Amino acid sequence: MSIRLPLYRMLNAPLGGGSESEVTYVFRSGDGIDPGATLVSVDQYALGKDSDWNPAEHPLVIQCLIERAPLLEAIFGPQGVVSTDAEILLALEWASADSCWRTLGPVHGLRHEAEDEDVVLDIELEPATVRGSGLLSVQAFLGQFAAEFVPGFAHQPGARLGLLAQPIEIVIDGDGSLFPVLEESLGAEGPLWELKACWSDPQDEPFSSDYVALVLNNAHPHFEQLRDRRALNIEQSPLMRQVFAAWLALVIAQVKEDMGAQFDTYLGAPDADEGIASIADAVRSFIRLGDLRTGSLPELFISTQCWLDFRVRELENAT
Amino acid sequence: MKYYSLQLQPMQESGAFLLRALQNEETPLLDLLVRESVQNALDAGRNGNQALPVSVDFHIREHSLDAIASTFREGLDVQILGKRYPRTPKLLEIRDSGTEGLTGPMTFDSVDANGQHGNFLKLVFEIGRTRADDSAGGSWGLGKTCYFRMGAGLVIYYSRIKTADGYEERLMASLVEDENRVDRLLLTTQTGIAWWGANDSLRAITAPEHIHEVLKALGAQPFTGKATGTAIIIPLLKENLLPVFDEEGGPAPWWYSSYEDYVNVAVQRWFSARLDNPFFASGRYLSASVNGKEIASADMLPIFRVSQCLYDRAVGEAPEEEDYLTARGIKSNDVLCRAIQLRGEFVGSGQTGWLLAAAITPRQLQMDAPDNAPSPETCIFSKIDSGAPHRPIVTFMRSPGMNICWDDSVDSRGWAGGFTGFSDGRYVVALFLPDSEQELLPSEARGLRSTIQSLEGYLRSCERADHATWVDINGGRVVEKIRAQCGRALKEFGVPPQPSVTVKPLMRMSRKLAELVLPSRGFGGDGRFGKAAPRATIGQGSGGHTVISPELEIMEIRYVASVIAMKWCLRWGMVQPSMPREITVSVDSEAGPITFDTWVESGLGVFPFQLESPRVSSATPSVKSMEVANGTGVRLTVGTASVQPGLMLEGELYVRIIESGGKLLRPVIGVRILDTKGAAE
Repeated sequence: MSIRLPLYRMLNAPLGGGSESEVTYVFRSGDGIDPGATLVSVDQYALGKDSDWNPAEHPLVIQCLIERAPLLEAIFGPQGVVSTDAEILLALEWASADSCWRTLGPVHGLRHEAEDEDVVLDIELEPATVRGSGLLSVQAFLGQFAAEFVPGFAHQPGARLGLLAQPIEIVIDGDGSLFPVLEESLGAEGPLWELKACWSDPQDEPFSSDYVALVLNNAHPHFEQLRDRRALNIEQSPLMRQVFAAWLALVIAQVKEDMGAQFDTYLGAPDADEGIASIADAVRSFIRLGDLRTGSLPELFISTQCWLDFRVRELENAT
Repeated sequence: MKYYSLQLQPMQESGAFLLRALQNEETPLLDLLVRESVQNALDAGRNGNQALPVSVDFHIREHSLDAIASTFREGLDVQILGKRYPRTPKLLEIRDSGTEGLTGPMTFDSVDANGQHGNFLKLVFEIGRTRADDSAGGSWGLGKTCYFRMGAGLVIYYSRIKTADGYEERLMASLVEDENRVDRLLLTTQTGIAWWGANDSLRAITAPEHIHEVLKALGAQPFTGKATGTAIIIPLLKENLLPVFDEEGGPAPWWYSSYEDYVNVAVQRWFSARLDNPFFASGRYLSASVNGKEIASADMLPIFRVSQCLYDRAVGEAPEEEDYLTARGIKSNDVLCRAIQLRGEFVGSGQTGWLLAAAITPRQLQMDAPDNAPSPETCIFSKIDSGAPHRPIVTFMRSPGMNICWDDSVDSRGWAGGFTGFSDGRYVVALFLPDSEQELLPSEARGLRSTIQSLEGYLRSCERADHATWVDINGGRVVEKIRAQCGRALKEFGVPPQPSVTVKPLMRMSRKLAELVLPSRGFGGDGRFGKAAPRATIGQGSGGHTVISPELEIMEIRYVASVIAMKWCLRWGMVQPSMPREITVSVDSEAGPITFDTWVESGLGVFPFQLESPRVSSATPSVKSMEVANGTGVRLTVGTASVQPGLMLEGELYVRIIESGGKLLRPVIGVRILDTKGAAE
């Protein structure tokens, strides 16, 4: 084993530990889309809550606000890393092994005697460049240094001076459930929706839009009526609920037909605990959660509608 | 030959039962016979010279009724025989050479306790005895019953085997017929089963003169010289062994004109991968002939040449640039080569097998003049070409190289995944070759063995007596998954998915609907709830506080002019606890730390760091620290009595930066174990 000794004093995340306001983060995207960031645990943000943000399509802009007073103290104070006549450079650094790249945002120069304003740093990550999770940190570098060599202080411009705060982890991909809904132009004369079913083995293929999807026709005159932006927490219009119920019943019926005699055995089996949940797993989950009656198609349609209405009421009451 | 009738006993099979035992009424009898006899020959040839082929020769010829009447006069109703065969009957002789022959004991009395029954007993006397070895072609011991269905039920077994003293010839005959038939051949029988053999007991005759006399009467040749092998002679062949061809759509193909031609094509149909193919990978290749005319690979029907070529490409030994597909101008994008991989079924990683497929035009299949080759559907299924689109045809095999079946289902769960064929008239032929060595995870719950089983063994257990299909054992899903994956690949091969630029996911709706009807986690890869919930891991973590190797930790650093002062903590570790530890300094670099020795050897000048003023602050008795001569190490020794698990030392040390250049270099501090002579371990 070996340990690299730092040649000069370095920062070891002096900010943020005691006061949340010392360092704060704001997440934005293009086209007015809110990435839906939520703090899920200490220093871990998840994206996508109540959001249309899609890492494949939309950029991710992160802004970091740092309170000036504790910042100056940490850098230029008695425990600091440079003398008061030096300049340091601050930047946000994104590093993600899952995404296979790292980068620095624009640099902010900071001097001890500068005007009394908080520091704002930002970084923009392009669409389709982030996946899995990544770490975002506030990095300090030496800009201009004191003329005289001081033992323990860096004296090479650009030398890394360490982290100002604990890095935050940004989670882009996890195991959060997603319902496969696609938007496609099927023409004004086309159907409002259709079932995309291109699985060959529902027990083996994942419940994802590559194999199964509810396709909504955005060229259809009634497309806009599928969403109800007034119902803030639910957002589906009554029409959408009917579409959704019909789609669910159709998928369940088709999987049942595909699996034949295995279907009933599969329903009775315990949930799989490994790998990505399959289409058959999703169908089993619908049937269990909704107590759906699969004996006949009419019964299935009725029980599916009733279940959806019940769930909507539940969610409405919860808000 | 002496007649022995099988007496009726409890649990005794009857002739009528045996004639139906294979439970395959749909496959033409000659196809069944070719599959069974060649497979038996290949099994018997497994231990022979691997460089030579296993030879199987089919002979079809007329024989005199008198030869049968005289040889088997004891026990046979000669009058009925004459009535049932008013015309000169034909016999079929299947002769394999270069094989071990019908070895082993000839009577059950001579089998040792737990001893091997051998080929003779298995073929001549045993029905339904399963084989234990996974790589054998046969498994149920019922295939041989198809011999009795070819004619009157009379089968003569002749073999020459190598013995410790030289060679031995054996000849035996059996007859299995429906005991309820009014015109049965056996004079007196309760079971419809009988044998002819030696005079003294129910065993083969071994006297060469006697054997040669019988063979001569039937027009067969004895094995001579160093030849060993087996000849199955089936006299009194039925006259209706050729399957009926529906001629409404056109005339029957040429191989419907004689048994010889039909057998020729049947060998190609079922053993296309192994026939005259030196590139066959899992055993000796097959050399077959019919009435002395060898079936050469180059003379096979085009569809079977394609099939052999797909096999060769799956194995990857034959040069592609010279193979039949290349010769026929089939481009690489008309050939699919896909590794089939199953999740969660195997002990290790790697593919389950290979799926090879080719899309071929009728012209490439030599169906135009002047060749006018029959269509694949005619060659394989004996039916008139249905016109475009032609259903994809898929075959699959285990290591013995016999096509289990040819499947042209267009069911969405079938081997072709519901692909119905190209509308431009191209044919699709595919072959799945499993990786026999793959080991299945044991799981009794899924119908598998409780111990590790090879894929080959599992697939063999999925075959019925006629080896004509793979059906998963109850609870197992290996075959189903293989079929589904092949189906998906073939469907994509036939109908490549068109990426649509107009399709986009509705993320907010996807998330909202999931919250409505799905558990929050597990059905997708969205990150809105944070990272994926950790799964239970198998095995043990590193756990525990006792370190194995020595570990060094730097507790505090101070910077003084040209010196880095550090407080350190050393966990001694349990590896060679009595040996000294050394704290070292080296120089960081892109290629890793540069030690003192490497630095000097590389001519880099004065080593830039030196360790100074070591001090151990721990209260552990008998600890000694000593600077190494060149200043790049501090040796620590502890008295044996003080070395306890969890021993931890603390102290201080200076790293002096020797020259100004050293201020840009970065020291690396490490720890290592020294041996008794002071060298690093």
